[in-house]
Amino acid sequence: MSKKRLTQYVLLAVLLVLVPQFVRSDYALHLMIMVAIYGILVLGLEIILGQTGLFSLGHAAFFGMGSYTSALLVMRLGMPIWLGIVLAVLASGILGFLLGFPTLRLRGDYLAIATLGFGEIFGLILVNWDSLTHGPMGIPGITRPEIFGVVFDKRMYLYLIVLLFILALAAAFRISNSFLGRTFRAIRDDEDAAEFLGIHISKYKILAFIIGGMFAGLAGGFYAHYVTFISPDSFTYEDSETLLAMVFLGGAGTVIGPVVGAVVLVLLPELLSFMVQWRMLVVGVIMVLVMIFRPQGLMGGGMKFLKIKKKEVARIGEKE
Amino acid sequence: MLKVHTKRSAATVIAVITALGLILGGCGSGGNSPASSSSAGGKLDIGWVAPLTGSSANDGQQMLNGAKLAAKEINDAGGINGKKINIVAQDDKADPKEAANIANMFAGNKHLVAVLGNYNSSCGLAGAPVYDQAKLPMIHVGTSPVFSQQNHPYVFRISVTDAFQGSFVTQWMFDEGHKNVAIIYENDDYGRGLKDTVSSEIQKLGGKVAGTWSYMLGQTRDYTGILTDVKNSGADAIFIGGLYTEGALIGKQMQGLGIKLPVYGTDGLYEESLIKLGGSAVNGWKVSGLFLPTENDPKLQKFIKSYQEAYHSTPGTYAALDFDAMNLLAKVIKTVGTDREKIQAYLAKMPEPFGGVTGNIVFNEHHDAVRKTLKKLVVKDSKWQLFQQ
Repeated sequence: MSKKRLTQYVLLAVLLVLVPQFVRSDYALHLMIMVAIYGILVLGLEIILGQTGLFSLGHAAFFGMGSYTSALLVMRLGMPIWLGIVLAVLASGILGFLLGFPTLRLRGDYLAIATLGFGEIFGLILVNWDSLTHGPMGIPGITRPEIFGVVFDKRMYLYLIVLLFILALAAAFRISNSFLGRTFRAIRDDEDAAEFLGIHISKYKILAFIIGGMFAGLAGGFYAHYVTFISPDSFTYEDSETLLAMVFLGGAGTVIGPVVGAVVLVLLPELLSFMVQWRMLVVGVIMVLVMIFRPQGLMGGGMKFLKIKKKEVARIGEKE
Repeated sequence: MLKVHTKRSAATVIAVITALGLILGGCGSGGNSPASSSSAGGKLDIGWVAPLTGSSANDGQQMLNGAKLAAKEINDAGGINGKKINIVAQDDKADPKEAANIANMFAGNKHLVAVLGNYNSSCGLAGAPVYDQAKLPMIHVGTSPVFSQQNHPYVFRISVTDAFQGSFVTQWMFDEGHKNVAIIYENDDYGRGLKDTVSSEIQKLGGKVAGTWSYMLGQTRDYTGILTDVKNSGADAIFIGGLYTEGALIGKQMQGLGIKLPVYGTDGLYEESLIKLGGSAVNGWKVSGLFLPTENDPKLQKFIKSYQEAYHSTPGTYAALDFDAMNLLAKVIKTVGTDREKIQAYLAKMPEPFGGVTGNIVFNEHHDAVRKTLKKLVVKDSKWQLFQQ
């Protein structure tokens, strides 16, 4: 690790510990927590959509799976919250595995429709499996985490979620820069060429869904114990759509881009809250403008790097 | 090349966090300072939150209209102890996550005296822990029974609970001699709550539930399958636990199939639009409601007249509920001042009922508005009328 990078990391750590101490408003703390939750969610979608190029419209289902798993395990079986969140991550991973299987042979639009259906089915199960999920009434009064007998306040929640977010970000970068990430991108750029090179396409597609799902499960587990009320209304198609918009706004395939997208799309509507019902209109206009002038996303400048790579693997018969 | 990439990313993260800190530090303090100047200027800030966009926007807008009308009347009469009411409105998009955001925003605003809250039960429940913690009284219009089980100290319900409406209508059906009822309900917290109460009440009164059928709000268009089943089940009446758009569709398709069973419902069906959409198919439908615009009550007539002058439409149940909620708050603030805890204490133990346009209101130990009775309403000659025996 170079000296420059070490300084950067130290600076980062100091900032992360200090910033919350200077924020007096609970509202601001809450927004930072929401940014971090969405940050983890989009890191998961980034692996599925940005890296592997699997167009998923059902990411909210993984989020919901994490929330419901942890909430139900803690509330019904009296499990410790920390174990609940770990199991939430696993459960969402398993859900990713289950989604991965039937959608293996699907590409592009067809995959999008299948994942859309998957998200809808998950929502319907939440609504109709009353005896387990408490149906449309949702689960109120979910236990808050405690540490040394102190129930979490907003600042402690923030430190926890930032810690989780950093772990998720490090994991996302690690995956992206590893053999795994390069394999994912190879599948995204040309599935047939990747298969020709000996990559087991099915295995890695399922793996992308599992890893993406686990990220969302982590965010979901935390969300349930933070807001303390969950209902099927929180994990709808609109939420999957928002996550998709975050990834594209920030720049799919750049890891950090979707996180920037999450920051913008969580904070922008709040900053515009004085416009009441018109604010989403402005957010929509900004989305359209970004897509026109920066279709690669806000952080998508790194696409140059990808273009070079693409030229290297130009198909036979294609003229430069 | 990879190294360059990650190095730049670490720098980006620092930049993002710093920017985030700056923005939030700024909005944290910025959010409070203009409010302090406004309250010094003799204003009383009341928060308001419900959906103004999305599928429930119509009811949300009615609520805002009702609250604004009440505030305008109070301000025109000199305000509360010389202070004018200022409504701080926010749109929760019927999304519980957004509702939690707004609850936190309101909780952080030290100048808010109270909040008129959410339309959707799920939104109200997502915000409730925040209001409790901030000790900010919130009056909402949700209907879910979960509110009564949770007993949030700072959360009050001014609407009628599903349980009360359901048992009221069930009793009515029995009075009319219908003891084998088919229930068609909307598959969400509203319809589900009604279905549960009505089925248990029917069994308690010694009747029989012929069957229950659910549909999806805004998605189900074809009810012929359900209605054929209802016909075959031998039911002697239908109870609809849902909203007017679906109600009208059910009515029209019943007419098409030639099913002539009496239909009962609750305030979800009670809308002018039911008659507009359903036409002759909904003639004779019986629903419970809080008030009838044509009723001969001077207080109600005054409300309806000023509402029509201001918004050129007839107020619905939700407009009346928020009109009452705002007037109730004004009365409480006039009595105990702007201290949030005192307002909560007053609402939790009201010395006398508050006489609103939706009837007399007192909150019980679960903070649900208690009402002695509801109005029995019927569609007759394509108009809503009071039901006469």
